[in-house]
Amino acid sequence: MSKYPEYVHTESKKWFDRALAAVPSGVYGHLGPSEGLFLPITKWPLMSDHAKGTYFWDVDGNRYIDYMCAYGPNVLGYCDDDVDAAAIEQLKRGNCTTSVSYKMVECAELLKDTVNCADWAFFMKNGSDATTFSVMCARAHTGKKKIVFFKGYYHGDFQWAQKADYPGILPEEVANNIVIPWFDMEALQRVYDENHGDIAGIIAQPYDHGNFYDNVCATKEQWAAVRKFCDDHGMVLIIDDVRVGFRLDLAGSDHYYGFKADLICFCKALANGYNMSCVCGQEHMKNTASSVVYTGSYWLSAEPFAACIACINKMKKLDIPTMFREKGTKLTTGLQEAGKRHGFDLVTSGEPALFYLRIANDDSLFLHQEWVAECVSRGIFFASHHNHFINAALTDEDIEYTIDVADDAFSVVAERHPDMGLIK
Amino acid sequence: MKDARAMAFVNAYGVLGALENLCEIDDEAKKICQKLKKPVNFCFDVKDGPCFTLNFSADGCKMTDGDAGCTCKMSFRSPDGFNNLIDNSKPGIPSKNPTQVLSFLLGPFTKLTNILVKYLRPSDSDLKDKDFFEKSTILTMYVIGGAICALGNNDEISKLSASYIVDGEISMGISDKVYVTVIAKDHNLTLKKEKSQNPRAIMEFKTIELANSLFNGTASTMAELCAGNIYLAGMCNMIDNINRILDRVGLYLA
Repeated sequence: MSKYPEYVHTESKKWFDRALAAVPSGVYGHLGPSEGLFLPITKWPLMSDHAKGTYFWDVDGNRYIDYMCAYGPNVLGYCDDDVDAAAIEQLKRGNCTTSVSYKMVECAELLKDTVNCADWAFFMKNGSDATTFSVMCARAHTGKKKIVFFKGYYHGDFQWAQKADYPGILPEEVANNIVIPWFDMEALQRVYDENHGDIAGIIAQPYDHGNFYDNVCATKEQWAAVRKFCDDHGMVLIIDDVRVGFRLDLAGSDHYYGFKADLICFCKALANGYNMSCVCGQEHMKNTASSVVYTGSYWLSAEPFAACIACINKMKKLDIPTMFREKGTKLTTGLQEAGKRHGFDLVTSGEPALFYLRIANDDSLFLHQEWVAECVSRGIFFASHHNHFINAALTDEDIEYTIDVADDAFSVVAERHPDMGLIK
Repeated sequence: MKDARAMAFVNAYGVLGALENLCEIDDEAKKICQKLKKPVNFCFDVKDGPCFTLNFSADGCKMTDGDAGCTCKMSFRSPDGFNNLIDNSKPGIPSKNPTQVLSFLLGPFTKLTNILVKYLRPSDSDLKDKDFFEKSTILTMYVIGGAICALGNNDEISKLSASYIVDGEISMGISDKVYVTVIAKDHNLTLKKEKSQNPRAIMEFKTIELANSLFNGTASTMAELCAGNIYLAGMCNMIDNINRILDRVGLYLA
């Protein structure tokens, strides 16, 4: 018997039907049922009404503790008072203007002071803008063509970052991508030789936080070897810190792993949901960054800069990386113990600030998807295929409540599968 | 861009492979098989392409790889030559038992393939018949299953998709109507024309009408997924990659 009643999603369904009539797929991309893997869809909220702190409420009035954090932008808590106040104040003074606001300078200076490898900052809107700019810079800087990726990569959805078998992508658009296993230095040397050194750089996330498999943290030694290879061979080392950025180390995930990237891409945690991204880089890349033709209508709007400044200052004040490590560890330890009580082997992987979950009793994720669905339909928003995110508004009480609901969800799944002998 | 060799595998394991199922579900096809005086094991041997045998008997049709046990054989100098048989009824070279090749090709084989084409390229009026509609959709499902494997193993772009598919069985089907299983092993795909007992991933269409709309391109897989009309479970990255191959199937079978 479940302790927590399941939510109903009547209004969600109505809104989603309207969305289907007006928008391709209703909600496309990672926030929608398809890529978000709402399995089964009836268990999931489809439209939100409002959000505050670590919670959002759907259009049926159900409250969720959100461990996806809008897939990363929510770092301090939704509608953070300090960030919103700074943004609103700036909106009153001007936002998208012909003459760029001095807030851009303040923001760039703050990033230089905060990010270890940053001698400059270049602003845009989305993670894809940042990774694309970085790749262009690498090619412009070296005059070389190919880019090395690590297997399971995700660097956004622009054509060059997709794969030849994706709809709308031409093989020619990805013909200069070379994919090797993570930290396989022999493979790196081999592809360098095979391509006669025509390699502009490497783009990689700080560690392997791919979907559908246990995430694998990196070591300082692995990154030191990659850094040395790039230095020895005149290649640009780009760190795609769009997802992980600031959550491990406010000075950048490269700093966390003991090396200095040539270029580093930030987005999600940068401004607590206000739309901006940036690339920071070392001095030797600055002239190249100036030379690359790259701009957008809203890229230098002032409101997100004000939000970014407030967000970074608050992340520093709260020591976000330490807080997230502690909260993530407390939560995942509690979830694992709850799983054990019902016979489930819940594997947690990746950095605690961005924990990945997988029930390992079967090799298909069937049980895992069932458990995640039961959690979601009782107000704990997890995803079954993707790493999760901690935010600063998450309290110890929220964590305890989460573990209790998760325990309840484990019992529901265990009771559904008496033949598996899960309940001990 | 279609590759002739990959197309030959689609024609072999997708299109002609569906003769197995046609002879099970269509009465006229069944009768053609029952009239055979003796089994005919017809091998199609394509240079730089597939080599397979369609084993016809009174019991129906079974497809096997290679030419073992064939009673007659037709050879093709290239995949294009074989594709010409499918597209334009242009035969290859009889290379074993020419008499049987010609008599079977011009007789029962043509009759069976004509029936198959009727189901696979149905007219609007035929589709109004519920029984025909159902059989047409079921046969298309088998063709698609065969084509997925054919392309996953032979089409350069689809091979890329297959390279991301982990080992295991992917169950695909139409609820309570028809199921096929794509078995991935070391990124090589094979088809089992039955429901998987141990799937790692499941994709199931809620109704035969939905399946038909998806197959003929009047519905969007993504939109139907979002609407909850396609049941998905398990290692959905396997299904993601199958869906990418499915896009290629549409191109090859268009």
